Amino acid sequence: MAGTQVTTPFGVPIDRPESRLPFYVDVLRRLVREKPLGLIGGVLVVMYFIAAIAAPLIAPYGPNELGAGPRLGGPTLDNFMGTDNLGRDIFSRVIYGARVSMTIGFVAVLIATLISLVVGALSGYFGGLFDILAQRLIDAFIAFPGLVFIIAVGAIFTDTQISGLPKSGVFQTQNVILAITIGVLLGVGSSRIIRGAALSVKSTAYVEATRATGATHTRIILFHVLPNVMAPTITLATLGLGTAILSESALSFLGLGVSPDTATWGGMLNREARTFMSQNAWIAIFPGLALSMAIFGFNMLGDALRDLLDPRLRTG
Amino acid sequence: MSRGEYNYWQKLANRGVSRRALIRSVGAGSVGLATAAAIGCGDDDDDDEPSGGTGTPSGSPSAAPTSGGQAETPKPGGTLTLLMGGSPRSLDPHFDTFPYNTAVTNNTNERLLRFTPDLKTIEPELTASLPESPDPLTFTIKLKPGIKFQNVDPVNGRAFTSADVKYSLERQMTDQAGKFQHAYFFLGAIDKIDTPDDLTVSIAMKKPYAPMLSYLASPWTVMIAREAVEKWGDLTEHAVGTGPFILKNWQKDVKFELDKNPEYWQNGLPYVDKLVYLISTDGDTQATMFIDKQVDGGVIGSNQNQRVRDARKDVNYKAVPTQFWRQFRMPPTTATQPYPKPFDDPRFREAVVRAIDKKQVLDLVYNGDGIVAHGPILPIYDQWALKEELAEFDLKKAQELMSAAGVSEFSGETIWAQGAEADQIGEVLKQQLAKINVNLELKPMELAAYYNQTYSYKYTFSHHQPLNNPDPDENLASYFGEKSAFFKHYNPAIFEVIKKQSEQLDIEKRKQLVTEAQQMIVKDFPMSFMFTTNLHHFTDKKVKGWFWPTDLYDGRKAEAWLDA
Repeated sequence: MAGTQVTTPFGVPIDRPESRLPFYVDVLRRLVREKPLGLIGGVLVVMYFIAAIAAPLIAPYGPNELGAGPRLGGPTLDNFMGTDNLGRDIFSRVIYGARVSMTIGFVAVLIATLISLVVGALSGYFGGLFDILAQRLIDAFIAFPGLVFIIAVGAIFTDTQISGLPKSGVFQTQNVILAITIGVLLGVGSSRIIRGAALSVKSTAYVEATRATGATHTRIILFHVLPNVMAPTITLATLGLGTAILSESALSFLGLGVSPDTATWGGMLNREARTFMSQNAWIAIFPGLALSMAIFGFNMLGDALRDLLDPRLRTG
Repeated sequence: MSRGEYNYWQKLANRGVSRRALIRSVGAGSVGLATAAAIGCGDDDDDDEPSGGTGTPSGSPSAAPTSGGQAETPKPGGTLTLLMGGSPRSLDPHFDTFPYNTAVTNNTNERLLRFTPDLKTIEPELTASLPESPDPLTFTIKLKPGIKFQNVDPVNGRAFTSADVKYSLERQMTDQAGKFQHAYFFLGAIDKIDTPDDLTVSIAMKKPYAPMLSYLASPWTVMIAREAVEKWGDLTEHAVGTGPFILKNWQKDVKFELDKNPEYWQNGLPYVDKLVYLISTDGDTQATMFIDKQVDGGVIGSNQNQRVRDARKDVNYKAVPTQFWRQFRMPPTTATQPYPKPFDDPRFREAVVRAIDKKQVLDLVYNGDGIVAHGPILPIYDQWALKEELAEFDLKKAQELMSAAGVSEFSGETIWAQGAEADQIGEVLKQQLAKINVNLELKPMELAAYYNQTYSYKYTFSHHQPLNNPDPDENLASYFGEKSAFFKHYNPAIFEVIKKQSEQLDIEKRKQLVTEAQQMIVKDFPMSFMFTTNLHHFTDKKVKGWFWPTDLYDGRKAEAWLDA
């Protein structure tokens, strides 16, 4: 590979590779060029985030506005996706549903990422007794069925009200607890993968060299291990968003999720759709489609990022 | 008479009113179902006729009315599989008040008296005739001879006697907090129960008691055996009685299986060898089960009935009014638990009631399949129910009342037993009350947790689905009386009128008192009396001898048979 010869601070001459695009810009470029499904996923994800942020501007009606159209009406110019049995606009509810799903998903993934990085990196880096104990705890945790865990936590905190949080709406206490629970579940599972990556990074020459220079554990973890496990972290986060959204929808479908006056895709499928889909198929199709497309988008984007960020799968 | 029917209203039209006649009739007199036809007893595929089925004499039955109204010779045998729309909580008839329990206990156990399926009359079940009442404070009950308990442990087919009646009634009267919720039927009214012989029960009353026969005919006033209680304690999982079916198997939340009682005291009954109830609490699943012929009959919800009718043309169908209805309640109050602010201002309570457009709730959630209520007595009991709306929907007035009460906004938790339709009721109510700045914090609850909180009488708002039998006393006393069980509303003036009506044996005077009590209750604004919906009964064509019960209480299936 052609390049420019430069000298390191230690006076060693090395070849610097030809000037390239910044790493993440390069990933984006390759996503567009090499991963069309990933690109579609990315576009969907962006669309959903825009819908979630700008719901009041996009939705023509309030999510719970009665009489936005006729009872169980089909799609019309006034109601793009028809109306439910309470005369509420399904399109508006789907848009507001994105807000709940994205918020819970995003918070959950944030928590999951934090947990997986801390537990995985420490466990992988230090090894020994700490690693053994941590991994056995994780084994026990993973063995517990996820949905049952979420339901149990929800039941325990059913009457809890966190001070400062509103009693209804997207950020109500139960939603926050749900996001934390999903985040813990995802984070514990993901920490295994981060641990593997940390183990790999730990045994690299540059970490050995850094250690030899007398760097502290904290410095090595923060400046050498963590930056080098970001690729799997990003992939896990993207895939985890889909899982988190699906979990929230599953709980809402079971009637255990957010309060009934908050429009969610799972809740729409549970209450209105199950009862009336034989009379008005749209009532099930649109929230179901919104949910499927969101999961599809996050999974396709996650798959593509995994391929693009994994050096072993790089083709360029 | 072996099964003398007793229609108070017909007899009243034909003769003068005596005290004795009044006492005998008070239960039946409470029943006025003129509105039944008006609220959906109609549309079907090929028949509108109730199957009857209550006229089978105690001797060997040779013919039973069919669902088409023609007499056919019943065919014994077969398994009748029915849909049960909820899961029973307990099989103890005196211990629990959950309606699905009675689908089992009204087949395994029997009562002294019973309502006909249309709730219009009271007729004997275990008694030889209707109770005699030589004076207002005495009832003499003669039992049919030859009645035996089922031949199962621990009763082993022994004779049913007056001692069992005494034991059962006294057990039902047990006054324990949180238990025996139907104690109020007789507690404080019955003074003493004597059993001069095995077939005679003499009940001495403390006071004249108008609802006595109605309460004796209640599906909760069933006869049990002392041995069963001594063996099992509370009868939460055991049902042994004199009934036509023997409980064989109960898989919780899945199914019940009952076998024919081969030694049933009514010769020839029951017709089917086996009765199976498959439990499903989900409306969509229930409809699918009937469409797929997994069950021979059942009740389908308002929002699924059209789907079933479209999918299966080969069925008997009938819509009947239900005894279930919907109330939107404000905090229960007692002498020591007064209304919290701002509920202590009746203008605030009135504002809440007037801001609720119950017709809109009925239309949106149930597609209008029901009838709006005006007061604490169900509209299907036309004889007693309020005819006029005293607290009609009036948003402007509600907003004015909020201002007058000095309440700019209020937030309160609303509880209910979760379910697709109940959740939607909560959503609609939230939208309606938001217009007067009352913010409902919606909290659907799992059924058991909901009942626990409901009967702790501590909540801010609740929308509840109670069920009432025909006598006005049950509609009034159990919710607004001094010893109410299902709700608490502390108002001594209302207590007094409710007490007076229960002791008034003159039917016209009682009607005045019942109306007065209802008006006082409505104008005190403890809750919004919303609406009642319809039941949609479906049976396969092969099911004969079926009757169309108005409620879920009446599980009697002894006279049903299969033409297959």
